[in-house]
Amino acid sequence: MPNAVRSQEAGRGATLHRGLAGTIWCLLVPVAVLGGYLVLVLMSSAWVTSPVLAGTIAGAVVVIMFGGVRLLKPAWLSFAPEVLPASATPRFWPRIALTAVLMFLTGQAAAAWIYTHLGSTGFDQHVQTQQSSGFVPSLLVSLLVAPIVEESLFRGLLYPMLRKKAGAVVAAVLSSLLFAAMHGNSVQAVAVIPLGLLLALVAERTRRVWPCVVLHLAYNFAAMMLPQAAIQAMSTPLCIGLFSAAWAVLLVLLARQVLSAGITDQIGEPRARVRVE
Amino acid sequence: MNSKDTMNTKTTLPDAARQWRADETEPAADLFALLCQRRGWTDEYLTAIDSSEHAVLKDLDTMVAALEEIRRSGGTITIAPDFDMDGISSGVLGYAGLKELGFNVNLHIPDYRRGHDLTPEDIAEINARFPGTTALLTCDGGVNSHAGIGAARMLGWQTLVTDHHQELEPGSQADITVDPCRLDETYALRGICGAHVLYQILEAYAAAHQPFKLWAIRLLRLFAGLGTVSDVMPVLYENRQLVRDSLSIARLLHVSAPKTIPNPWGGMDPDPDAIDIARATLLQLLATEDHDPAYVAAFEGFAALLKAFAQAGRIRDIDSVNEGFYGFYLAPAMNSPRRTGYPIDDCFAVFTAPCIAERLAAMHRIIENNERRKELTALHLAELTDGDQPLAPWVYFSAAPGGMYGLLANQMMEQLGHPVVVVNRPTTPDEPVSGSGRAPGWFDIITTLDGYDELHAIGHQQACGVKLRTAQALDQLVTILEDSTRVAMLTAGDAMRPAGDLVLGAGSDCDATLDDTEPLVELVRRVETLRPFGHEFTEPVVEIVLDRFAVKAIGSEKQHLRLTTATGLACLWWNAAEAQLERLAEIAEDTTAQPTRFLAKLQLNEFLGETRLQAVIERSI
Repeated sequence: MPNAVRSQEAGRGATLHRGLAGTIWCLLVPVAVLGGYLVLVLMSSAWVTSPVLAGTIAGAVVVIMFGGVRLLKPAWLSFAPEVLPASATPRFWPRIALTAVLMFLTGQAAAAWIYTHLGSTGFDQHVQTQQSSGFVPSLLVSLLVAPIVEESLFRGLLYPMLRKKAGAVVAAVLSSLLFAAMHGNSVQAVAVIPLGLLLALVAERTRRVWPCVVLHLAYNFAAMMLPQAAIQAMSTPLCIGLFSAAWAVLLVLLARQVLSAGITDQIGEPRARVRVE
Repeated sequence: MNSKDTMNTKTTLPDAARQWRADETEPAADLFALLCQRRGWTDEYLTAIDSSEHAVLKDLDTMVAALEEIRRSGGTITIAPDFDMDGISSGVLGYAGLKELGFNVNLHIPDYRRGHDLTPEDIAEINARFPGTTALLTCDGGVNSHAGIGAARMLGWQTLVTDHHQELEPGSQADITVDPCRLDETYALRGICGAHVLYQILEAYAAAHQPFKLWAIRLLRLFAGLGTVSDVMPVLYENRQLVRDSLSIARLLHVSAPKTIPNPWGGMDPDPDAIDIARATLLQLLATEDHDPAYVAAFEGFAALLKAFAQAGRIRDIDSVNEGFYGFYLAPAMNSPRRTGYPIDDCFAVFTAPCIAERLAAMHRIIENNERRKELTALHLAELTDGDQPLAPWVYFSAAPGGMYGLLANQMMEQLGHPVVVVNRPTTPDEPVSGSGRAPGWFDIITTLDGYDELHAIGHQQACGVKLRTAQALDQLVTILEDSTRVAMLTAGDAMRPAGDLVLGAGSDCDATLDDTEPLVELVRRVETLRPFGHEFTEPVVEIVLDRFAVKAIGSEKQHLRLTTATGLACLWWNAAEAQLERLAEIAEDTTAQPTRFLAKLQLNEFLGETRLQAVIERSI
């Protein structure tokens, strides 16, 4: 058999093997990471009656575990390619901010439309739980606990672990869908799917969790501040469609900018190897 | 007249005996100029040793013609290499090169238990494994393997010997022999390694018969340079550019570890496990053309080897791939199997296994075995220092595998500062005894033992095998070593004292202070332009005089030492904490202590964009 044919077949075999391994990995990692979190929540709930407190305790354990992994087993969170310098993605943060605003408006409008037309007992329960917990605890959970815990879990642990074997798009979509599903109701899920994709892109670009925490915090703060009337005014299919198209275009452009900048030259090392600040 | 004739490579090179000029009355402002002056490195000398011109080895053209005839007739060559790093390099070079040139080739894995010479048993093994052999090609050996070559000729094989060892009477029995140390050879530089000899043959063959393959064959200088450093060949003349080319090619196979592991300070650390060998520049270039898979495998294997060393923490960046890496990491690792009794197959599998994963795995096993070798050395060294040794400090008995005697003898020689022989412990007085001897540069073991019927040494003057006809000759050996050492020490005098090329520090005999680092940084930069360093062109060392310093143990196991001067100059001493920390800590605290002197090499350390000078201590004076 000619050498070229033999090596082509060997290459195809290796690709198939890698694909299968990647698929299995993408199934096992979410089960392990999110399954572990759910077990923590159940254990906390069995220990304390307040759902907010139980969630906070479970979240604290998650943050400690994330910190521990980051300190003691940082290789678990590493994935290629190298971090790019700031110059590789010009005007990155202004574009992220613009995309975030459009995603926020889309998410809020879509969530309001779903609640108005389809309702959501899950969302009602969530609101009831918040109200019964008190204003200050709810505020702390929304602006502090949730961003820190959820980003530690999804962009700190889940996303990098998925990225070890999966591409950026697969990891982003999977982590965003799971992030949305974890909220437990269709209203919040629809609101946060776009946010999950954007935060995954930020995690890919920076390899840090704190920018994601800040963005998530800002998102929650804006959601608290935005008047209900404004949301209702935007919750039309036309508005939702236009906002969606706008943020989708921006997101694709940003993703291309981030992902293609990491591609190596045909011959040689990656174009940029300086650590991003 | 050839410049090598005027220089007389072996005995009168200025570097071989450093010249301390008695008439230096004025301190030199330029430390580099002073260093060159003391080393005898004139411009003429440095230009001469960088000349790559050389004559053609005797019978090289005949060998080239024979190879072409074999290829045309569809003959099959089996390569029989030696088992040290030079042998491995030449075997891989020959296999990859001949495959690329379209030959039918086999590569025989040598059995080190039979010794360096090719034996009839080796030939029988080759014949059983490769029955289609029509020609035997030896590399890095065979010039004196009369029995083995005879056995090969009896099988009707054409015998082609490439070697670099001294041909002994009555001369090689092969059909064609190419060896710079043949009895009637006039090639000027006798110190070229076995891989270099075979490389010259392949290069000449490609130039004559397949010029389009010449650039591909020239890439095999990678292995020829590796053999040159590993076999401690003089880094002079054609060897210099060969080593430079080898390192350049090696660096084209280096892939930096992507910085993807988050560290606690918000940055990213390199992840050697994520190195993708296929991204090596040279491999990407080779992929653009048709090459024989065995040829590509040799370079892929070298790239895998670099990745394995990066994963073992021995290669931090591309600058780590230098002659020191060849001599202090790669060669010892590849030589470790025969020292520990481990199979040598992995040493060739790194370059010939069917896939990259297997080659990488083979290199990992070799590196693991090398670590085992270090542990065994430490274990057996304890046997020498703490065990029953009636003939110490001249002759030691060891239960270690024979391949480790040289390592142990070297360690003892470094500790004691005089010649040492390590042998097997005899059980009866009439039993033959054999082992290895090591000696400092001022003592010649072979010359010392010459003329005694019961004693025999073979190899190099400072590193040789020693054989005693019976154990009864052991006392005679001890007496000879002791008496000869006493005489040598009396006549050697100051030549025995380890000396630096420059003296740096606060003393009155110092050439410059350590406080002003700018001239020292400039010195290091200019010395770097003279690379490569090695045998007969050694890297400069300096004597540093420290009157005040702080000392601290560093490293994951606190096994290294860092001495810091009052002006912040760091002096590192690897693996010295156990032996030296207590003593140095006492000196550091004693304000009345005399200045402490060390022999060291100066280096530049780049960290976070800043270049700093540091000294790496070799020993205390």
